[in-house]
Amino acid sequence: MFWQQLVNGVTMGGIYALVTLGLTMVYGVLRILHISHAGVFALGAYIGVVALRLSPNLVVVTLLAMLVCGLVGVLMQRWLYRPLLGSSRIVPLIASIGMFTLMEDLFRLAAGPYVLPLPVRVPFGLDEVTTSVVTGNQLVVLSSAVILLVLAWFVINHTRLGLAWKATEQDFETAAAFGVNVDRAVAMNFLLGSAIAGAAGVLVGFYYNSVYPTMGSVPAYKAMAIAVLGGLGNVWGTVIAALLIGIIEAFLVISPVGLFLPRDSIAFVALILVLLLRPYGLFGRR
Amino acid sequence: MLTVESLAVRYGDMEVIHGASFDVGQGDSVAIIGANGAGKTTLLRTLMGLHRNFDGRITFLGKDIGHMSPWERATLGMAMVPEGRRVFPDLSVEQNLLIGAYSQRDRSTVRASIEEVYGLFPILRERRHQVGKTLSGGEQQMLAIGRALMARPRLLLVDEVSTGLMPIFVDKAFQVLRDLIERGVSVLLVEQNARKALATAARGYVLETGRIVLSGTADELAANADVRKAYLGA
Repeated sequence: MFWQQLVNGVTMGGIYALVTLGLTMVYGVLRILHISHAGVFALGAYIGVVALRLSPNLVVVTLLAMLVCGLVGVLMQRWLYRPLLGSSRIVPLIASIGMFTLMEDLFRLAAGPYVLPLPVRVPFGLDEVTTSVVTGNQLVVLSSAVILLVLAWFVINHTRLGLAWKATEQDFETAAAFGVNVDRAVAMNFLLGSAIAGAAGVLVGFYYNSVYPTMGSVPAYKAMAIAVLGGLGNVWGTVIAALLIGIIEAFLVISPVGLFLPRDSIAFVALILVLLLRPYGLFGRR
Repeated sequence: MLTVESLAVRYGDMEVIHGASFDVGQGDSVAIIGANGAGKTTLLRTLMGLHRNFDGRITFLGKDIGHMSPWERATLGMAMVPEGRRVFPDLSVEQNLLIGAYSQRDRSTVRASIEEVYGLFPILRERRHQVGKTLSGGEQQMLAIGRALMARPRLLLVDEVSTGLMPIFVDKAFQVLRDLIERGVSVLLVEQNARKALATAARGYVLETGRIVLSGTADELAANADVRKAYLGA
């Protein structure tokens, strides 16, 4: 029971990490709370549903969703956020919430208010490798999450692009004066963050075999809470905070506390505590 | 190399530089001296493309660069030592230097530049894994200079290289600039420390409340009665 719940928690935590990663990356370079990131997450799941007609293979479906979501992320940066950059920070936030609502309604218009299945086929029969502790589907989600997080880690820490992001984050003027194309760096940031959110959408759709218009609603606000817990802009803090929340949720639902405290409230309880006690995040510096 | 014609720079509705014209030739070294608030930093930021509210013409290597982004100008061969150093606070010394070489694609050149900078400022080698904000003011200034050298610039813009430095580092900083000038790099420095600036550069301009009021060779300026009174304390 303990190990099963731990695996459940780590699996959800991995998904939270994937969704929150883009959010915290965007906050890092632009200082914008990118709520519609959760719309990109849901879009990923819908692209998955469409992509199923081309190929049932999970890898193909995920890559397609990543591609489309990455491009949509770049378009959002270009057409939604860039025109608003000069305005006060509340303006892009409201625009982002509006965009998220619009996306949910577009999903409803395009695909109906139904729950759609996402029965992808998994390579190597990984989903068949079920043991008493971990199900095959969990293995699929976990291994995908690890691959994507390692990819993000590599780009952030071992490429010119990653260095350009950090420089832009700390002082975009000086970065620009030394030849960093700040515009493109920010666009690439959205590209990677949104692509990973799209992959998370496919993984969640596959894990629960359900895709529906409002599937981004809870992640939208939960990811925000996790991003703050991890210290906004702090990528590794975010991953750890995501795993913590996933694990705490998993154990809470089987404990007596779970009878009166709903699972989705944990992140917010933690958020409130952190804002009261450590407003710079669990791992942040003052 | 760099020609500036009737440059007027504004902040909002307020004009702070009123029709400045000057030039920096190939291998030339030019000092713009002036008191605090004369508009020196604004001038350099406009040349680098960081301040865009201006009229007039800026030509670099025969190209009109007025519409270009800072990174395009950097790629053409401009680099700057900005006011207040602007070291990246959470990047290591080495990463700061790597950003300096961001427009250099060739890895072995970058490696050689890093070695060169470490040779010039050995303390930076010792501190290469430390993040920028943990350095002392003097070390940060060395890093800011080193970072600009990493770009292997054709034109180096230098904003107040001497502020906040201990006297021995002031001499060191100007020595580094003189070496660069000798190697044929064009340098434009803006300075409050007129004595050092005129001892380093070949030519100079005097900027007073947004207007260029005097120009000449460094020796001429250093001998000028008004300059001596206002800037050299003689």
